[in-house]
Amino acid sequence: MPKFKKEKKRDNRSNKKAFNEKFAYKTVIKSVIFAGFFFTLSILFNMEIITFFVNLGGLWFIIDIIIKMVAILLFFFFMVISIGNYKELTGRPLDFKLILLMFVLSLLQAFRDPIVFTFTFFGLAIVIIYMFFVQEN
Amino acid sequence: MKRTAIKLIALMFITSLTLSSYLLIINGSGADLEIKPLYGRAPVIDGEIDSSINEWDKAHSVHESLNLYPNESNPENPLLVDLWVMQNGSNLYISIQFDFMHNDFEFVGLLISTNQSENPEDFKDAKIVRFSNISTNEYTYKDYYLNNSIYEEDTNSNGNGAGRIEGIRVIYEFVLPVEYNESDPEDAFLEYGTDEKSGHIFKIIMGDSTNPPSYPEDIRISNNVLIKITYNPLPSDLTQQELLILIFSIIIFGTSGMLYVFYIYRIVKLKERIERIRT
Repeated sequence: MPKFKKEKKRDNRSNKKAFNEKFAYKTVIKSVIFAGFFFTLSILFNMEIITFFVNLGGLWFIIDIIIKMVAILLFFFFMVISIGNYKELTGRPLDFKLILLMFVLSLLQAFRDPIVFTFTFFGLAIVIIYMFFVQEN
Repeated sequence: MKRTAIKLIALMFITSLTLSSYLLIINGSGADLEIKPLYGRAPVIDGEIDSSINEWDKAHSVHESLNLYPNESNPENPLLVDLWVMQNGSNLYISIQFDFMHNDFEFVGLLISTNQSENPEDFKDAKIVRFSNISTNEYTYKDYYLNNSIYEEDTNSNGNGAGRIEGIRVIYEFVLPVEYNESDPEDAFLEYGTDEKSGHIFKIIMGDSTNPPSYPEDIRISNNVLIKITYNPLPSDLTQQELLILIFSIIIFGTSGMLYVFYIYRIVKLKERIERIRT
C-alpha cells in the first residue's frame, strides 16, 4: 500500500516537472514572438522606414520618439525574459555577458537619434534594475 | 557547441558586412585629370554657393585643382582653377572657380567629347557661360554643337549654366543632363559606365571675346579632364553621411536580426532535446 502511494507521488512530481517545462517553453516562445514584434517595430521606426510622425511635426515628433524608445525597451524586456527562461530550461543561469550583449544590441538600434538614444539608455538601465529586483524577490 | 556558436556569430558578422558593402558605390576621385563624380543633393545653378544649406559642400562633390594652359601641349603660364564635380542621378554638375583679373565678356565653358577621345573633332558639344556685363554680373548660357570645326548654337538648348563674380573670385556652375535624348545630334550623350573605356573628356575652356564670340578661336586657355559617370542604385539625394548611417543601420539591425533567427533555431533545437529526454 505505501509502495503504491510513493509511486503516485513520484508520478505527480514528474508530471508537475513536465508541466513546468512545458510552461517555461511556452513562455520562451511567447516572449520571443513579442520580442520579434517589437524588433520589427524598431526596424520600421528606428531605421526611419516609417517617418510619418516626424513629417507631421509638433506633438507627433514626441510620439515618434516614444514609439522608437518603447519598441527598443520592450524588445529588450521580452528578449531577456525569453533568454532567461531558455537558460532555465537548459539548467544554466542567465549570465551578465548575455544581458550586456542584449543591452548593446538594443541601445545601438537608437543610434540615429540622440534623444531616443539617451532616453533608451536610461530606460534600459531601469529595466535591468527592475528585473534584478524582481529576480531577487 | 560553444565554438560552433562563436563561429556562427562570426560568420553572421562577416555576411552582414559583405552584404552591406554591396550597397557601397565605387567612389572617390582618381588622378588630377580623372574624376568619378559622387552623388549628392542637386545644387542651384545660380553662380552662388549657399553655405547655409551646405550647397555643393554637403554633396559628394569632388574637389580638384586643374591648371588651364594657353597651349596644352606646352604647359606654361597656367591658371589654377578649382573644379567641383558631382551628380544626382539625372544630371551632372560642374563648378569652375578661380581668382583672376576679369575681363569684359569673359567666358568659361565645357567642350564635351563623345567618348575618351581628345581629338578636336570629337568635342561635338559645348556649354558656355559668357558675361555680357561683368560689373552687374549679367551673363548668358548657350549650348553649342560642332559643325565643320566651328561651334554653332543648338536648335534646342540643353542643360544650364550660371556665373558670378565677386571681387577677383568667379564661380561658374553648369548642369548637364545624363543619358538624355541619345538621338540628338547636337549634344554629346553622357552615359553611365564603369569599365575602363567609359567616360567623357571634358575640355575646360576660358577666354574673352568681343561680340559676337567665335569658338574655338576665342578660347585663350584650356585643359582636359576625364569624367566618368557611374550609376548609383541608391536614392540620388543620399549624402555620404546618410550613406554611412544607412550602412551602419543595416549592420546593426542585420546583426540583431540574424542573432534573433539564430536564437529561434536554438529554441527549436531545445524542444527537440526536451522531447528526446522525455522519451
